[in-house]
Amino acid sequence: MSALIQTLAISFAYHNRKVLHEVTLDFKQGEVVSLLGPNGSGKTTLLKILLGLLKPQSGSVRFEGRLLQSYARNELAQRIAYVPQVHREAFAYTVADVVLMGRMPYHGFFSTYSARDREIAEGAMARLNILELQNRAYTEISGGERQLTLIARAVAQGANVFIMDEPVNGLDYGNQMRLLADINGLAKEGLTFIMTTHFPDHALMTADRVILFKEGTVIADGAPETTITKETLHALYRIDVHVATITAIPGHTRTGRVCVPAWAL
Amino acid sequence: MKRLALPLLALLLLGVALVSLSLGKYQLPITDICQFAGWKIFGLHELSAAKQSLLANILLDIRLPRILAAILIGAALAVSGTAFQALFINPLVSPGLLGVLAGASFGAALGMICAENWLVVQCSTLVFAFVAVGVAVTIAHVFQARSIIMLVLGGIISGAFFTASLSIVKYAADPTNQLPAIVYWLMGNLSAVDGDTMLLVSLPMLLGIVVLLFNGGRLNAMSMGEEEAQALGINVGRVRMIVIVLATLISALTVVIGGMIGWVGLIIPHICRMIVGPDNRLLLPAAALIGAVYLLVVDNVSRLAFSFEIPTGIVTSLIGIPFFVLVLNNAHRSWR
Repeated sequence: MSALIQTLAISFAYHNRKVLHEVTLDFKQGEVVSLLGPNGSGKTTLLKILLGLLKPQSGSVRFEGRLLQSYARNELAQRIAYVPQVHREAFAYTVADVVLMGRMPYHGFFSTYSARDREIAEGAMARLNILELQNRAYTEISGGERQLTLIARAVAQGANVFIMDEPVNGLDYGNQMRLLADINGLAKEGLTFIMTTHFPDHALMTADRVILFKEGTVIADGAPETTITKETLHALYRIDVHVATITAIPGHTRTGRVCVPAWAL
Repeated sequence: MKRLALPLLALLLLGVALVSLSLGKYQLPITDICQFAGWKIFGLHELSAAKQSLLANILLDIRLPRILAAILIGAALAVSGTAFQALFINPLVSPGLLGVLAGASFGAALGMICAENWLVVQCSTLVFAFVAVGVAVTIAHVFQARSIIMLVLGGIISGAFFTASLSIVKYAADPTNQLPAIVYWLMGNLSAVDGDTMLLVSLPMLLGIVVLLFNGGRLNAMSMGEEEAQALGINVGRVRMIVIVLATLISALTVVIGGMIGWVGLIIPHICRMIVGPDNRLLLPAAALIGAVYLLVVDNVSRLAFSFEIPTGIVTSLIGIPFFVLVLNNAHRSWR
């Protein structure tokens, strides 16, 4: 199967600071990919290039075989959705209004949302179990609920690829785990996820593929079991972390993997 | 309730406009106005020739242009204020942010000392309004094309420059007749409105307002942040330019008609947000209607409250500011 998204030797620099060096990657339909790496390693820049928000200074990006820059903004938005980090906004739009924004790419200059758009938005909210929040102000709900709203908006957008920048950032443990479960659920329906994370544990839980970034280059790319190891984590973060396999959870046959820092043992 | 908001506000505007037509030094009962309208438009009723010419003079020549001016200026300032607040993701922004009002005032004052012809003054007002905004946008582009902060800074610089230039014009103006005329003009006043000017500016203003109203959905998305809006399929640079050009056009035309009318563009969006919520698809048309009603009422006060007229721009501030303080506690709930 050919790749859904291909980057070919892309490089990017902010002014004189190089953040990506000739990165070549393929992303396949239905993959859940975690990008892992220290701050400033180029993960977020890669996401923005995949979204067409930044243009690489050299190299090319293809989506479904076509050059990314040949897509009109709204064409791209119908295919790739962006779920930004949780933020607070100046204006108190209702949750339903925020989710409806996902239907924006389907409208021209003078047209506005239809009854069909409203149905789709409701369906998206139902899928993430936030229907009862629909008339609440986006500014007054919790961080976890806000992130669910942004994911519902991406669902309403009808995109096949979800690009998420640290989706669990700023959430409490319960909301983090619930959100990862929701992402897992959507991934099982064949959607493609490309997300950055600061937690190797989260990558172990959700991803089928992990890409490790250091100083703008890919240092490992593959299944979580092979990429997240004591050695690679040391290379990334300069700390000693053991990756342990857990087998002894009563009632469960599958094994899990967790990272435990050496100092805690 | 929200569905009914716009029709109700439109009815309110119609009612206030009718009452405004009847109010004046020469009181006209609303029945007379209806009779006159019936005769003029549908050929109903028989009106005596004397009454015909009297009503035509009072209603069509004197009151209607002024009422139309109040409606358009109120709507234009409220809509451009609302659009700018969404565009700059800041509820404290007003239509003058990019220097349009400073540029227009300078243009008007310059026109007044250079030419006798009122049309020249009006053209100079419009031209310098666009020059001022052009300077702001150029500064932003030179330094960092896509940053909102740079655009705001550009507006501050441009506004300061044209305010200083206005002072030079005032300083150079003849203090016996030109200077008072400039100062009086800058206070904002609808008493000088004439039918010919209104015929000329009504259509572009109305068009500018209406096209801005279609941008509600896009402005919602753009107020979530630039990158998010782009990822939602919006050509942010283009929509931003469309909104800035239209807002500049209609704000500049308010100065062309009535000088500086302050505060409407800041207060009305907040009051509207309290009534219909922050969704710009509903907020923009509501702001247009409430802005129009507000300026109509204020203009009635300025022409009728005392035995002499008070400049409208002073009354918009004097009534607006205490009202704003009263509603501030409620208003900030929709944006904090």
